[in-house]
Amino acid sequence: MADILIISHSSQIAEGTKALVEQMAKDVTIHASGGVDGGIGTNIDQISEMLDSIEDDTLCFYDIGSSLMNLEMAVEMYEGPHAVHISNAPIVEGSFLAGVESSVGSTVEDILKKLNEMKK
Amino acid sequence: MNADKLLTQLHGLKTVFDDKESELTALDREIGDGDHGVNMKRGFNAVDDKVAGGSTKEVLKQTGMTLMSSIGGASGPLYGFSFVKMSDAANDEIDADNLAEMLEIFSKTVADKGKVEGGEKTMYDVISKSADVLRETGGLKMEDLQQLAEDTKDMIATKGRAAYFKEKSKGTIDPGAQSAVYIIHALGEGVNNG
Repeated sequence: MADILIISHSSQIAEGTKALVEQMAKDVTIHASGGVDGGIGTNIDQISEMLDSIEDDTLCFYDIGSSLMNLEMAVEMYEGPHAVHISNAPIVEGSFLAGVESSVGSTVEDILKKLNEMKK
Repeated sequence: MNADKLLTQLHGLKTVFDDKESELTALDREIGDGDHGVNMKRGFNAVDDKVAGGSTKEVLKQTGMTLMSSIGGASGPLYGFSFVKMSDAANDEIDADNLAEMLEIFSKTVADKGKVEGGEKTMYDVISKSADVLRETGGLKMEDLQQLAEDTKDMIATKGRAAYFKEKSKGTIDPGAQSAVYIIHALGEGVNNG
C-alpha cells in the first residue's frame, strides 16, 4: 500500500490535510510536515527525515513556491529502497484521492494516472 | 587544488561573507526581502564551523549539506544542492579542466532545480558563464566575474521575489549573482594558487 507524503509551507495545512486524508484512509501511512522554526517555509532536511521513514513506494504532494524545489532535491538525494513519485496535483485534493485509492489497493501507477487527470 | 586547499578556500568564504553582508543586504533590500546578506553569512559561518575535512568529494558534499540546512529561501538549497552535485565530479586534485566541469554541473543544477534560464537576473547569469570564462582566460579573475554580475543590472527580474519589482528591478545587481561571484572566485583562486 503506497505511503503518502505531504510537504507544506504551513504546519497547519500539513496537519489538517493529513487529518482529512486519514479520516478516509485509516490504514495508509501519511507523512506530513509544514513550516520551519515555528514559521512559514519548507526545508530539505524535514523532507529527507520523512523520506527516511517511508515504508513503501510513496506519492508526494507539495504546495507553493520553493516546496517543489526542496522536494525535488530531497527525492534526488533519497537512497532508500522505495520508489518516490512527486505529484503536481493540488495538495489537498491530490493527497485525498491518493489516500483513498491507496487504501483500496490501487497500484502506484493507477493512482498516478488518476492524479494526472487533475492538474493544478 | 587538493582537499586541504579546497577546505581552506571554503572556510575563507566565511570572512568574505562576513565582510560582504551589508553589501548583499543593500542589494536585496532594493529588489528582494533583504535577507540574502545574513543568509550567506549564516551559511558560510556554518560551513566554517561544521565542515572539517576529508576528500575533495567529502568536503564539497558536507559543504552542500550544511548550506542546505542553514540558509533559508531559494538560494541556500540551490547553492547547497549544487555543491552536493559537484562533489560527484571532483577529482582528488582539482585542476582548471576539472573545475570547468564542476561549474558546468553547478550551472545545470541551478537551471534544473531553480527552473531558470539566462537573462532572468539571477545567480544563473554568473554561474552559467563562469566555465567559459575559465576556459577562455585560464582563470576566474574577480573583474571578469564581477562584469557578469554587473550585466544583471540592466536585466528585468522574472524569477523569485525580485520579479514583483518588474521594471523597477532594473539598475540593481542581482544579489544572488553577486554572491555567486564570491563563491566562484574562491574556487578559482584555489585552483590558480595550487
